[in-house]
Amino acid sequence: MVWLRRCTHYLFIVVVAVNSTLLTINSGDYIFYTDWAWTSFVVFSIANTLMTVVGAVYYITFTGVPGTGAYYGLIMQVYTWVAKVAWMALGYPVDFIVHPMWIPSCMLLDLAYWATKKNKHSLIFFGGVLVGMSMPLFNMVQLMLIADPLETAFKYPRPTLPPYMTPIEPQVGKFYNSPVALGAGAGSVLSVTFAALGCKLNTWTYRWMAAWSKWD
Amino acid sequence: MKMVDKKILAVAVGAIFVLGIYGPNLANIVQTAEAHGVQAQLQSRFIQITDEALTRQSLSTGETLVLTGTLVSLVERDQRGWISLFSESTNSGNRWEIMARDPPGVVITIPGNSITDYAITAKALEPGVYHVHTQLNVANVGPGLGPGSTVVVEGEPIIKPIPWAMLAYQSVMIAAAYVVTFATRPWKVI
Repeated sequence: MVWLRRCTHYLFIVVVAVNSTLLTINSGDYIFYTDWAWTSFVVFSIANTLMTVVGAVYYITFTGVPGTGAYYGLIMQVYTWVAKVAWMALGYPVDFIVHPMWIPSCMLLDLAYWATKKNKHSLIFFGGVLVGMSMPLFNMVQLMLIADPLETAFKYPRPTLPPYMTPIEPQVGKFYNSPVALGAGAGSVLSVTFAALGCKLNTWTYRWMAAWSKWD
Repeated sequence: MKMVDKKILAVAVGAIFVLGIYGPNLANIVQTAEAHGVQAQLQSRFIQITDEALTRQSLSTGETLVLTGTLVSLVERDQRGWISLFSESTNSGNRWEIMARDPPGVVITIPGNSITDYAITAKALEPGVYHVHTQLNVANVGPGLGPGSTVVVEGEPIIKPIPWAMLAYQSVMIAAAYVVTFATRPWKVI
């Protein structure tokens, strides 16, 4: 039974890590080198929020240990450094590469689980809302710490940029005045659903493992 | 399920497979790039890039290259746009830093039916053999490219400054996660 549990665990880690790395690479292009910057940030935030919350909730309920969220976020975030090397190899300006920031949101999930004495529904509701609200905030901090994206887009032609995707002018306010607000609003609603999905995936995993345990 | 039904099913699945494999190729034959709103030719039909010239065709990294030419507006209305360079190379580098633009500024207004001289000064950041074009991006229209020329860049690649503040932010969070992870040791129960 232990081997099955561990295999399931590592399989999930690998799948989510690969997804998060690819998402990091692809979303970066659209955030910085197109005139869809703010819109892309919202899409990026929601995508990362949902991926994080479903994985972290799955893990937290898998182990039942508050702290698993931080463990999961740590693994995912360190994996994105692989993506960073890929970007550098493509010739992106080094002071312009960001990683998604997942750890603090995952810690909030741990906090919700721990503070409510491991109540699964509190994890879904409070944890889901906390991740959704915080993810765009922590990621926008990243954008403030690197070279100005629009200036960089004008100053450094992107190595593999299709000409039709070049920015014309700042698009702030075109889609919504604050990508953080929109990302947080949409993320906090959607991530509750995905937190519930994480719990459900956990239930299914245990049922699947229980079915396998007949062979023990 | 009757045998006839199974045959129909098999034929339908086969047809889907064949269409899936050859469909995109057929679509490529009949569709042109214009169908997607992307112009097929390099030159824009709104504002053309003429008399494109480069100050040099061989340089070292850190040295600058000046692309000059003329923008000929073929339309009545004023257009907004910005000039850059577009380069293709055999390596994945293609790194340039735009040092100056003339007309100055980033987004410029190109008056209708006008002739505007331009110059782009760019610093080479990575060695390689490039084909360098002027690229004019016109608002609501799209990009146009000049004919381009071959440029050879030699020397060591120039790396941009390291973003220490961002690295510190990442590192603090990663360190905090390590503390929590080793305090709780979730893997013990996996």
